[in-house]
Amino acid sequence: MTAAVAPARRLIGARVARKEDLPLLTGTARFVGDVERAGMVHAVFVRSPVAHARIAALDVEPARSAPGVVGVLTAADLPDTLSPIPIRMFSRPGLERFLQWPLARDTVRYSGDPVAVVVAADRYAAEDAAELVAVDYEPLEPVLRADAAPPDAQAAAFVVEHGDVDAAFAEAPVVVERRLHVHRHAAVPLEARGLVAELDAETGVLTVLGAAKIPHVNRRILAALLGWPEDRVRLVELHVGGGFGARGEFYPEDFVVPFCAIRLGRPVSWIEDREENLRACNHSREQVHEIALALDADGRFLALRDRFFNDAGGYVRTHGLVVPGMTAALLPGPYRWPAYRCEAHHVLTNKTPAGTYRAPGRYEANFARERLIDVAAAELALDPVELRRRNLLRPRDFPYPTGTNTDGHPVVYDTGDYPLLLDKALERFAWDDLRRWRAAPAAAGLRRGIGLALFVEKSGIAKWEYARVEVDSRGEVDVFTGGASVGQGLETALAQICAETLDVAFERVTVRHGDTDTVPDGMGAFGSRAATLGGSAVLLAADALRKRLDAGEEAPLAEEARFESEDMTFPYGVHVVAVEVEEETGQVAIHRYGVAYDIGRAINPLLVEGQIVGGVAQGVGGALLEELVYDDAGQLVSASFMDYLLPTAAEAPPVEVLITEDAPTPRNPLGAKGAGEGGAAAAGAALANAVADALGVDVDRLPLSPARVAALARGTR
Amino acid sequence: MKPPPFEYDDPATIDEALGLLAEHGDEAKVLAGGQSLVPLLNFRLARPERVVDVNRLDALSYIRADDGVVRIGALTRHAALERSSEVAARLPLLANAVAFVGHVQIRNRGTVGGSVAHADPAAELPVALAALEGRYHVRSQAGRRVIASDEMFVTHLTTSLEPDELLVEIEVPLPPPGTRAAFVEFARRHGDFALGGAAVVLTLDDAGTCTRARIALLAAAPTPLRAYGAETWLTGMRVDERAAVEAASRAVADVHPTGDIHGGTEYRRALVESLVRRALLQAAERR
Amino acid sequence: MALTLENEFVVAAGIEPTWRLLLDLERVSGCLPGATVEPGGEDGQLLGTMRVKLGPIAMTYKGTARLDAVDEAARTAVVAVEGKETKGQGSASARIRSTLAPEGEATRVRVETELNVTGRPAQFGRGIMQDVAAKMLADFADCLSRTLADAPEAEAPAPALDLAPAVGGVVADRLRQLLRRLFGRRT
Repeated sequence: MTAAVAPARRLIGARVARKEDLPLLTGTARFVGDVERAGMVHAVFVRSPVAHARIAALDVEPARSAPGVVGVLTAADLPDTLSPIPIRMFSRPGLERFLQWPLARDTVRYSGDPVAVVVAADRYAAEDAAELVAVDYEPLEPVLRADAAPPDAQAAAFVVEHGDVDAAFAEAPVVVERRLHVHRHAAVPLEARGLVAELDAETGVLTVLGAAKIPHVNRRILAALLGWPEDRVRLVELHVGGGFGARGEFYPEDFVVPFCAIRLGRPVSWIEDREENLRACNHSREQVHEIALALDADGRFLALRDRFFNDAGGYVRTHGLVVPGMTAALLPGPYRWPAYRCEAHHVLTNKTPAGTYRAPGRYEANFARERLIDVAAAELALDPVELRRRNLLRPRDFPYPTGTNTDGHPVVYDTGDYPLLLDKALERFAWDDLRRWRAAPAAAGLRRGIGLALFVEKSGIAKWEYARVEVDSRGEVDVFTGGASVGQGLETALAQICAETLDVAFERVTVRHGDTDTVPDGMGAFGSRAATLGGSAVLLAADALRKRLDAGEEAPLAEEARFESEDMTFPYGVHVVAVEVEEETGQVAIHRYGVAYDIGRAINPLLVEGQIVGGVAQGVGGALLEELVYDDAGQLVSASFMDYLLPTAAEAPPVEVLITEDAPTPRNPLGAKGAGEGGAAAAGAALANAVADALGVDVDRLPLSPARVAALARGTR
Repeated sequence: MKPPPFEYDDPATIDEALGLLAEHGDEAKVLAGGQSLVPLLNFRLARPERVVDVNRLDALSYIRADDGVVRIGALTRHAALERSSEVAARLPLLANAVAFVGHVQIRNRGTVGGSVAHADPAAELPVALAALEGRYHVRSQAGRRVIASDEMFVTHLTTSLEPDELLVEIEVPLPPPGTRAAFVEFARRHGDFALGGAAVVLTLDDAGTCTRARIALLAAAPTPLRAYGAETWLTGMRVDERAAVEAASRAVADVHPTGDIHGGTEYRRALVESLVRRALLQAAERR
Repeated sequence: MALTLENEFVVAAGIEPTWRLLLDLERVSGCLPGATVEPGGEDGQLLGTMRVKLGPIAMTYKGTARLDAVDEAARTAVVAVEGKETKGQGSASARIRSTLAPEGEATRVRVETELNVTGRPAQFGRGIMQDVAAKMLADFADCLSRTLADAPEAEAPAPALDLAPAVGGVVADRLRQLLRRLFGRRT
C-alpha cells in the first residue's frame, strides 16, 4: 500500500451518503425484472381460487396445447424424492405435517395455493393458457379464526413464564384485562418477487437470479430439495426493492421455477405481479391477545399474563414459530415484571401463510402491552407516562435476564438506560407542549389526543457472520460479506467500517454480497443483523489486515473473519404521537410524530434515520390504512391496491428522529445494536393510545380505519 | 395481470370510429384515457373482442364557451379541464371537482368523456355534471341525440349509451348570476375513490335566500343521485347552519349506499349527510 | 364471496299455473343472464353457459342447473346453479329459492338467492361483486316475472315433480324461440 492514501477520518458514526444510490437513481440498477436470457420463457402459476378444498380433478391438457406454451407442470411432475419445504429456524418436533409442498397435491389450504405452473413464450400467452387449466375443487369448510379454531388446527402451543403469576393476580389490588386484536397486513415491498433460473447444460450448474435475504440458506434448501450437491446450485442477489421480512424466505416458487428450468431445458423467468404478491407472499401480524395486568395501588406492576393466538395461515413456512416466539419473548418490554406468563398458540387457518414482517411478533406485542398500560393508567387515574416511569428497568439492573427465551435461548437484555431515553424523548418532542396543545380547543368536529409507546427491540439474530477483506496492489479494497442487501444501505455501512479500520478512503472500498459463488457462506439480512454482525466480521477482518500491513507485509493481501455471538442485542425506544381525529369522517391526522431510539452506536446516522422513517411509514400504514380482509368463504377481498391501501407520500407523516447512543452493547466490537425495525415496532401501539386519548374510548383493535374510528366517536362498536 | 387478446383499431376520424362501433357494437370497447379500462383489461374483468382507440380524434378535445353554455369535447383530458381559465371562471364547480380525480398522472391521461361513459358511482365529474344539469351529446352512424343528466346513468358502470354510440360532447349550461357552488368529498387517501361526497349549486337572491338548489350525491347510490326532496325544501330558505343540517338529513333519508370493506352502509350514509351539510355551507359562504 | 339477495314481484296469474311453471327448469334457468342452454344433462340437470355483465365487466360461466328441494306444500322451489369460468379459475354457484304466495287472483313471488363467487371478481372489496350480483338478480327476477306472466301461452305444462331430463330437439327449439323473444336486446 502506498502513501497516497487519504488520511483516516472518523467514518464509523458519520453521516455518509449511500454508495448504492447512483445506480438506483439513474435507473441503471439491475433488478431481476431486467434480466434477459437467450431463449428465456415465462412462468405463470395457477392458484386455487378457494380457501380449502380437495382437488378432485386436474386437467392441464387444454393449457399444454395452447399457443406459445412450452410446458405445464403439476405436483405429479415433481420428483418422487421431493419433500415439503423445511423450516429453517424456530422449529420443533411435530410441525412436519403442516409444511407446504411446492405444488399442492390433493388439498389446497388457501386462496392462492399454487396448483400448477404454465411456462410459455411470454407472460401474455402463459396467462391465457393458465386460464384453460381445469381444476375441480370439492370445497371443505374453511377455518378463518385462529381464536375460534378446532383443536386439530393448532400447530403448536407453548408457555413462557417466570414467577408465580396466579398468586400475583389473586392478591393484586388492581387488575385490568382486555381482548386486543392486531389485524392481518403484510410487508408489500415496492418490488414484488421474481426469479430467473437457468441450467447450464455444459457445467450442470443451476443459477438462480433474484435471490434475497438469505441466499446461502436458500441455496442449501434448494439443493436438498433437488437432491443435488450444493456446488451445483448458485444463487445470485441483484438489486432488491425491499424485503421487510417477507421477501427472501424459501417459497414454493423458489423450487418450482428452478425445477421448470431444469425440466424444460430453458431459462425460466417468473416475475410476480401485485395480485400474486398480495395473495401468495407471506402475510403477517394477525394476533388476538387476552391480556391482563396486575398492579398495586401505587401503580407498580405485579404481573403480566397473556394468552394469544397467532394466525399462521394455511401452512407453517420456513420461519417456523419465530413470530409467536418473538411475541412471547419480548412482550415484557422495558418493564420489571415480578411474575409473567405468556401462553402462545400457533394456529393454522385457511388464509395465506403468515410469516415475518418488520418487528415480527413485536408490533403485535407492543400494541397489546402498551394499550393495556394506558388502560391501567386510566383505571388508577395516573398519568400514563408516570405509570411507565415507575416500572422501567434501571441501568443497575443490566444485564437483565427477562425470564423469557427465544427458541430456548434465554433473553438477557445487554444494556439500557430506559429512564434516560424516556426523558430525552419527552424533552425533544416537547411533551409538555403537546399536552397543552391537546388541552386547547380544536376546530369544530376535531378531537385531539396524544399517546406514546415504549418498546425493546432485538437485533443480531442468527449467531454468526462471515467477512473477507482483500486489498490489491493499487490500494483498492474488496469486502465480501455474507450479509445481504435488501435496500437498507448495507454496502455503505460496511464500507465505512472497513475504510476506517483499514485507514483507506471510503471511495476505494467496494462491498460485494449476495452471490453464493463469490461469498462462501453467510446468514443474510433479517432481524437487523447485517450491519452489526456483518459489520463486526468486517471489523475483525479489516483489523487483522491492518495489523499485517503495519507489520510491513505488502498488498495484495486478504483476511477472512467469522464473527460469532450467542446473544442478540437489544435496542430500545419510544414512539410519541399527537393526532387530531375528525369525528364525522373518522379520519386520523397526525399532528406530530417522534421516535427516540437508542441503538448503542450508530454506524451511519443517515441510514438509521432512513430506517426509522421508513419503519414509521409502514407502522402508520398498518395502523390506519392497510388491511388484508377475508370474507366468510376465505376469499381475500383486498387483493389489489384498489383495496389494500398503502400510505403514499401524502399520508406518511414527517417524523422527528432522535438517535441516542447511551447504551452501547458489549456483545460486538462495534458496540452497535441493529436499527432496522424500531421505526415500525411501536407505531400501532402509539397511534392506538393517541386515538383512545382523543376520543376517550377504549381502542381494542387495529386498524383505525375511518369507519371504525367514526363508530368509536359515536360511542358505538 | 396481462390483458386477454383483443383486436385493436385506432380510427383517424370520428366517422371511422362510428363505423367500427356500428359494425362491432357490443363486442367493442372504446379506449380514451385508459385509466379505468386498462386496469379492467389487466385484471381480465373486461374481455372485449375489440378495443377502439379514440385518442387520434383531436376534434373531440376542446373547451368552448358558447351562447350561455360551456361545451367540453369528450376527449378533453382532466388536466386540461383543471387548467382551463374558462372553466375556472364560468364553472368553478367543475374545476373544484376535477382536482379530486385520482392523481396528477391519472388526470393527465383520463378524459371527461371517459369518466362519464365509465359511470363509476364514485366518479367526481358525473356528480358535478349532474348538479350542473349537463347534457350529453352522443353520435352514432344512425345520427345524433342528446341525453339529459338524469337519464344518462342507469346503474354501476352502466350508461344509456347504446353499443354503437360514442359520447362526443358534454354541454353545460351556465348557472344564472348569484349562483355559487361547492364540491366536497372524503377519501381514505389522497386520490382514492371517494367514500362519499356532494356537489352543491345554490342560486341566492340579493337577500341571501335560496331561489334554486341543486344537490348531487357522490358514492351514495349506483349512480349520481340528485336529492330533489332536499332541493325543494331548501328553496326559499336562508342557507344557514340549521337549514344545511335539515337539508342534508333530507338528502340522505332514502339513501342506501352499498357497504364494503372500506365502510358499511350506515357509515357511508352518515358521511354523505355530513358532506352535504359542509358543501351547502361552503357554497353559501362563497361570493 | 357469499352474498344473499332478495327480490319480489307479483304475477297476474293464479298460484297453480305459476307453481307449475316455476318447476319448469328450462324456462327458469333461461332467465339467468345471457343464458344458453344445451341438451345433455343427467339426473334432471341442464347444461349451459351464463354471461354476467356490468358495464365493461363480463364473466362467462359454464355449468349446470338443477331443481333441488321442491316443497309442494310450502310452494317453494330451489334452482341450484353451479358454473366455472370458461376462462379462468373462478366459479359461481347460486341457490335461488322462489316462494309463492297467493295474493287475491294473483301470485306473489319472493326470490331469495345465496350466491357464492370465487376468482377475480370476488377479490375486490370495493363492492363490485355486490353490484354485479344485484343487477343479475334483478334482471333474473324481472325475466322470471315476465316468463311466469306468459303462463297462459305455455304449451303443455311441465309435470310437477318430474325431474327427469326433458331435453330433446323439439323442446330445445321451443326454448330457443322463447329466449330469442325474451332476450331480443343484449343484456
